[in-house]
Amino acid sequence: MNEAGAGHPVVIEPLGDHAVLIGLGDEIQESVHGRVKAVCDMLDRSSIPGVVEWVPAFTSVAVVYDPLVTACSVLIDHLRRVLADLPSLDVLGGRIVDIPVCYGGPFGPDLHEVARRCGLSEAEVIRLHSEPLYRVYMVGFVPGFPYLGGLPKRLAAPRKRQPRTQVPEGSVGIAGEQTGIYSLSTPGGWQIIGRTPVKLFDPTVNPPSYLQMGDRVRFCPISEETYHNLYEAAHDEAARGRPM
Amino acid sequence: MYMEVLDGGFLTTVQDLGRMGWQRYGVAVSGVMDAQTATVANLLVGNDRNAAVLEATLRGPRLRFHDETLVAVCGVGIDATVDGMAVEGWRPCLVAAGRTLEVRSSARGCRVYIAVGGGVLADRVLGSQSTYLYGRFGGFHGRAVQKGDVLQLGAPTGETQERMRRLRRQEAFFAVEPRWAAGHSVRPRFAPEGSVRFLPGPDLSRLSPDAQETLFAATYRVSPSSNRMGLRLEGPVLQVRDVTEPVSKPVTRGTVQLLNDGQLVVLMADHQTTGGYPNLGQVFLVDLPQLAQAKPGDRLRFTAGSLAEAHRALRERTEGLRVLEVALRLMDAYGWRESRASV
Repeated sequence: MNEAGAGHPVVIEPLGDHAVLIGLGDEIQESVHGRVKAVCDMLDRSSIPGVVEWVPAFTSVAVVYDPLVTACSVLIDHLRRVLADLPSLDVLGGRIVDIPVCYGGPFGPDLHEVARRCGLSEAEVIRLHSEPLYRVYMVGFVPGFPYLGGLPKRLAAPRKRQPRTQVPEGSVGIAGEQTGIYSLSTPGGWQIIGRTPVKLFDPTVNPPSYLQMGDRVRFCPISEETYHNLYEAAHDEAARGRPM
Repeated sequence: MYMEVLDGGFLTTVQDLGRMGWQRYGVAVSGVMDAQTATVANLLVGNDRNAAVLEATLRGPRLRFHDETLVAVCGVGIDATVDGMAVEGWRPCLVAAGRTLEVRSSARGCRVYIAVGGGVLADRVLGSQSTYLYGRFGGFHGRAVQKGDVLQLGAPTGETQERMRRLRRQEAFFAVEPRWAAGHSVRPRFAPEGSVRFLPGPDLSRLSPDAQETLFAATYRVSPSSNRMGLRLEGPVLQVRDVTEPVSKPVTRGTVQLLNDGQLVVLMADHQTTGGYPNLGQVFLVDLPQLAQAKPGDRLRFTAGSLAEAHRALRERTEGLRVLEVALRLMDAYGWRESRASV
């Protein structure tokens, strides 16, 4: 067992009969995220027989393998050897991506409610929400959905008691101390405070996810008019590139 | 070469073995729910194992073949006809041009696979032709097939053509099948109250010893709200002892999650990539076809198994499919035994 970064032992154990889980910490924090990122970079660079793909999360990485190609114990030994050189990523870089958001109105039906709960004006909620540089901890659940860390604690808001049956694509929401963007139209219980015209998932481009793990995101308030202009530009382009 | 959909059935989608390599972007693997049956169907018509097939759920489709086509219909309890004449399935079937295949719902199984010589040609997105219904991409324009759709077929392989030639020797008006079929050893074992094998997961120990006992003693009923994302099960309510909200972790096909209402869900082909619910364990990959064939109302139990057992069973199944593939090639080369037999 080796030690890396913040001193958590790297734990590698089977996750069913065709994956192993690399555990890198217990809590959602930047240092653990740095180790998750380092493991993924390492997997990207090494070619380990039988490895099909890997799935990063907040504190762990699952490595999916083909049991007909490699034995689980051989894979775990191989991963241990590769991860022994895991660099400690204390200083994280990451691309800074601006995400334009039209807050409130028809695009942010819960902005008023969030402001009332937090004892703030709507303008203050918008200012606070668009101030931080958020970290994309992982992309998961549904295609292109970014889990963002770094929401100001003052903006924390519970999930809606009655989830909406359909939250439109691009909706920016708050749930507890998390904020995120709905990359597809799905049912959902987050408090919706705005919407972005940016297409977060497009299966016709590589990579298909607009945001990547490790990116830093800044929300930029825009007007409804700008929203519509940007929306048309983003979706026209997507329509041209789409195969039948 | 194409076929026309006269009726899409309950839920018929184009699937191959799945969209691997994109889960890090949140993209579900998708693909066939019962990889074993779909693979047999493809081998029978001389296709590559990853060729796209039609996966029919519960009530199957009605398909008219524009050209003479080699078809294999595989599933549990096949009820299929070509222009009213029953076909038995689990064997290649030469369907004459202009004829209609109808796959009705079976009293026993849930999913029927229809492989066509050359495979279905559909939208290839991120390396796979599988339909991902939730994201509305892949397969036939990201959706289930419906009345009026016209599906293109690929070019038949040499094996497909050889089998068509042999079947064509027999005089047939609608369709002709050989007397042999794929043997029972390569079909998924399926019993209405069967057990599936289960590998303990990271959160199993969060159940009390009593609750763990209940998990393995209980019989679960497949809920009607099951779908391609997961099989929801109805049974005794289980609760974890601690209430700490777990951090979302990766999940896999076969992961058994404990939902907040104390019920279980087994993740299947279209499952999400990460999950925050307690992960009690994983069903053996080799036993997932049994779950794919379970209909709402069917019952099942879990039995604990080991990783070594899971891998041994998977190797045995793979070996069985390989034997079938080789046997079919030998028959193409040296002639078909016309006695009723299985390969």
